[in-house]
Amino acid sequence: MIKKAVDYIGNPENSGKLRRFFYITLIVIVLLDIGEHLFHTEHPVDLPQGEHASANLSHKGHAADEEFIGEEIWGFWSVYGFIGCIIMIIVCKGVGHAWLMKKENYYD
Amino acid sequence: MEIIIPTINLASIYPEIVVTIFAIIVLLLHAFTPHHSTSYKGGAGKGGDHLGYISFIGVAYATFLVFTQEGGTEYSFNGLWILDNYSRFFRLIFLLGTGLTILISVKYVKDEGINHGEYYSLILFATVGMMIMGGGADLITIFLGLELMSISLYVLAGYTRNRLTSNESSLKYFLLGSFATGFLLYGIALLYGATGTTNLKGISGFIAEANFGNPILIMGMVLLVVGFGFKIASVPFHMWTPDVYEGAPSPITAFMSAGPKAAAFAAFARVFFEGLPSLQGVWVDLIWVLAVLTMTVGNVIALVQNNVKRMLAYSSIAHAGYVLVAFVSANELGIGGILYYMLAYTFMNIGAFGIIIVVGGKGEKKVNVDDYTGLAYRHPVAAATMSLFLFSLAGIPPTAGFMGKFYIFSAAIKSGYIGLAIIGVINSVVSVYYYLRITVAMYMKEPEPALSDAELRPNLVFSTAMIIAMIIAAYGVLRMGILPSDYIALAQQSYLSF
Amino acid sequence: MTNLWINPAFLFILGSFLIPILKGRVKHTFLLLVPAVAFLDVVLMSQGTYGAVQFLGMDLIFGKVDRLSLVFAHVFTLMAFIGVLYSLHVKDDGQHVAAYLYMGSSLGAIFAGDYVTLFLFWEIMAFSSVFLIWYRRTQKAVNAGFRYLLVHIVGGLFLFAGILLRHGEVGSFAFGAISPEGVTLATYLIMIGFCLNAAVPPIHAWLPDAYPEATVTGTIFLSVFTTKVALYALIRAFAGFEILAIIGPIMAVYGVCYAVIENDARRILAYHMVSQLGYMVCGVGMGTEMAINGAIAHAYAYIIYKGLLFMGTGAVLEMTGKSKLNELGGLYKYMPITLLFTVTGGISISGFPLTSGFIGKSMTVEAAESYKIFIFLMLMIASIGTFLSVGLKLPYYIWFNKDSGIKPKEAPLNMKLAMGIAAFICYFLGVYPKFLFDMLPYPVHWEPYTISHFAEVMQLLLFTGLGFLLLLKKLTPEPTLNLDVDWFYRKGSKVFMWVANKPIAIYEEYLGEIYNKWFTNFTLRFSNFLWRIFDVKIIDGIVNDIAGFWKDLGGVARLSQTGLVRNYAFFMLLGGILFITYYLFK
Repeated sequence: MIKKAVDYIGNPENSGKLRRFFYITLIVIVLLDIGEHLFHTEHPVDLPQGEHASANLSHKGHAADEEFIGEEIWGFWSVYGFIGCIIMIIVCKGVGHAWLMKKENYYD
Repeated sequence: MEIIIPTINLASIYPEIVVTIFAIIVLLLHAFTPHHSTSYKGGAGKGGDHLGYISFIGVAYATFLVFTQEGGTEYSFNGLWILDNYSRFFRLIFLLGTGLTILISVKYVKDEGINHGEYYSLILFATVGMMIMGGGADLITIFLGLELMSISLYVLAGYTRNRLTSNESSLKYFLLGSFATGFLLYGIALLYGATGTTNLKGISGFIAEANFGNPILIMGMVLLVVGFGFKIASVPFHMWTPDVYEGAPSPITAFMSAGPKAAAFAAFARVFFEGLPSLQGVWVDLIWVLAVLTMTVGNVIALVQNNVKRMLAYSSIAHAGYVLVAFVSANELGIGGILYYMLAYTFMNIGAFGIIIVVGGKGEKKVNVDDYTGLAYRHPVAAATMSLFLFSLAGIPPTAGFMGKFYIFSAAIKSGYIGLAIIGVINSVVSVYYYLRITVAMYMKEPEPALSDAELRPNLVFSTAMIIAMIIAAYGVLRMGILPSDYIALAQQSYLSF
Repeated sequence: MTNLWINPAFLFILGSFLIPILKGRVKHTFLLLVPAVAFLDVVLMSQGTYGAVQFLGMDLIFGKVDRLSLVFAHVFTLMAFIGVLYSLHVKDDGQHVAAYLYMGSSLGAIFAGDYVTLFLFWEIMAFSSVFLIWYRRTQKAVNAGFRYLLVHIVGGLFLFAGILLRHGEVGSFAFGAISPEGVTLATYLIMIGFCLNAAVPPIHAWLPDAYPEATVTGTIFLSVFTTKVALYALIRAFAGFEILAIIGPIMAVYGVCYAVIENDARRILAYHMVSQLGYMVCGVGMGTEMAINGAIAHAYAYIIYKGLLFMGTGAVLEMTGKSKLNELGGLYKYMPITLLFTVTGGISISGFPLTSGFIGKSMTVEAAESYKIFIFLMLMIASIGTFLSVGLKLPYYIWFNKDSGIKPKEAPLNMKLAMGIAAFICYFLGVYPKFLFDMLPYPVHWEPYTISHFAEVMQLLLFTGLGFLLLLKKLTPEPTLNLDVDWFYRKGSKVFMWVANKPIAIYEEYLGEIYNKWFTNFTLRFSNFLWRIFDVKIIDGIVNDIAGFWKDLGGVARLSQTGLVRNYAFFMLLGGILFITYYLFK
């Protein structure tokens, strides 16, 4: 079964389908985030060991008034993830080519 | 003034007497054994092992006598001789070194065609010399012991007569040794001139009373440092060591690096701690410099050696440097450290040389690091044993070498010589490289695949005596590393009686 | 409970002696039995102080058992079992012995209640682990092993000096929390010693240098113990040191940057270790209860999934003999199960929901959010890089991409089993985090499974995936070597060896020349002169006889008189004179 699934994913013919599935997932997750922001469902904190919620901790476990601004913006993490990834690839490869990458027998 | 009781207390020198007698017995026995003449031709000596075993029995008996001697400090022979825990401990080191040397020699001397009574006899005489150095309470006694030891060693270094390197080694050792003796004797003479006595107690008493700024005294002291510095192979008086160690027969190299070195330290420490303690502020700088130079030069040069004997020669210089660190500390821990370290060093160094002898084979042809390649595949036990000794020499826990270094560096730190301790530890880091090089060669490199199993196998032959010696040495290394407390207690006791 | 306390360290260390004796199935059973027994031992262990010994006037404590040491011992013994199972097929006894000693000493360090015991085990760890590298038996591995060892000994030296100085200051070797106020040199030395083992830049380079050169199975063990013991020590002693909270995120980003450009699969993972350790070090530095909990939970989860990743890439290396991404590709048809497990590790390390990363790593990240925002954002960047390099790049270029033409078999059963267990634990912790949370030293006030957390993580990761898809071409692995700070000592050691070699050679040459010029020439002329006189006056026969004798002696004399004896003596004399002059003019 595993082999079948892996073969399906690995087969280049199916890459278009997988890609489409991936894009749909992206949209769904952004929608979920937007929904979360709109309705802002506060979850009760599950406290093990019978601790009572003494401090005004939010669901994040820290004081609510210190909430990071990014948390308030819709889809902030989508943008952060995307831009961060692009920048990281470009910068790392760039610095690598400019300086860090040497021939494999550099130390010999 | 102290009262000198003019006694001739033979009981205090029983061990020395026993070793001397056995030295003579071995010598004579060989002369009167029928088949001796074959072995003089330089061919394969066919003589039996009995000479070695008889010598070993003598050493064992002397060891037994040392253990049975009563504790406490006792002067005899008009204050020329002292029997205390310190000299007792050192005697055990010497006898241990000699015993192990005899065991690792048994097969070697037959292979090299030098299975003569003289060989063992000289070793035993050298041992007597060392014991006299350990027990001398007078500069003259110490000097006599030193000469007895040295002259025996000069001969022993050149004992494989048909090997040029051995002859070279002997001649060099003799020439330079005589030179150093000159220094030492000159130093003694100056001390005598300055203080009017050669007795250590007398000297310290005189200096304590009189003004010690006397330049003659200082010069005498410096010359003594030079003389002893030669015997313990400290830098810059070390240059004989590599050539001599490389050229001398391997068992003798092992012997020289353990016993005589310990003896030199024994006398060195006794003269300086008992005879010249008031000058400590003066000589401590000098020894500090010696210690740093000795450790550093020894280790750095050892790094680039490919000949294992030569490498261990340089490493033995470095080890002398570590002991000098303990010497500089000059506290209770320091003296204990010297004792403990020399004992540990005797075990591990002679152990390592045992394997070198076995690997070296007839004529000591295989003494390069490359010759150890793949040893672990053919002889896993030998390789493991060698690794144990090398680990100990490198100071890796849980071995005697680690405890020894730990002891020494703790002593240095306790006396406030933090810088010295750090230089020492850095050196010990450097040394790991060249010791482990051999281990890596043994374990991590495959032997030539072209050679068949049959060609590889017969390389190493362990005689029974060698196996016993290796077991003793390995036991000592592990015992002192894992359960060091009682040895440490013993070493500390030996200081207290000082 | 009872006062009987068995140190799991000794189970391993004593067990290692038996390994060479046993054979066949008995050996396999024994190899697995010891970690299993040790695991039970740890599970059943109750808190307290055990194994106190007096030595050289010092109080040594071999068993300081509290919640902190227990949770580490728990995961160590668990991973020991998995690692041994993974390496069960290895025939080389030495590797098993080294692994056992290494694991044993790590456990010993975890339970050490004083610095001396800690240091002892610390050193044994270094010396036993290096064998796991050397046993690869390539020249590269030997060299890397030496570098690894020397770096660690230097680290040990810092630690040692720090311990001694600290003893001088506080008068005790007790190993416990150090207050961030009033730090001294001793504190920093100890911290450097710990940080070196925790691979904190700029003293991290030993890790990516050495780990990829180790044996396939050795890397599994290496990836678990050294760094985590260091982390444990940091938590124990340096919780709340702000400098660590700042270094941590730098580490995290530094490591992933290298992971992005690296080509060797195992080196990617090694650089990645630096990054992941960054999170944990950061957690230690923040020092709040949540941050410490996060660091430990992360470490626990991390040991399993990083082990899993190394096992996956190790299986590829074992079966194909290759670990460089540019030489691999298209393996999905041949090693699908390994792929599944590796991807499990990859998504766990990235922190996908339902995996252990989601509940472990996130706790530290959340703690950072309320600590300092820039730290939080940097950790997020590192998360992006993590998923990019380990979750996507690594599996993609090994199993998919172009077909490299290699057709390996699937990994052997024991490897698959080990990977299966590790993968199971990854999911198990992700689904049932309470199991882990209950072991942490502080009560956990945090619920990982909220919609906002879920949405945050998923957005971050999936959009990283989008970036990956778009820039796939740019990421193509290149067969290069990436400079890192090990440059200093790799080049430096060459200089050192040159210095040790050259000046000596020059010195000897120089002496030889002096000798030739002055001594030999003079002697030759002199003997020439003598020879003329003798030649005339003395009968040939005698001359011949004597000549033979002299020739022989000359052979000896030439050897001993390479000019060196004189020089030796000269040096001795010089030394003596120097010493005397020093005192005369002092």
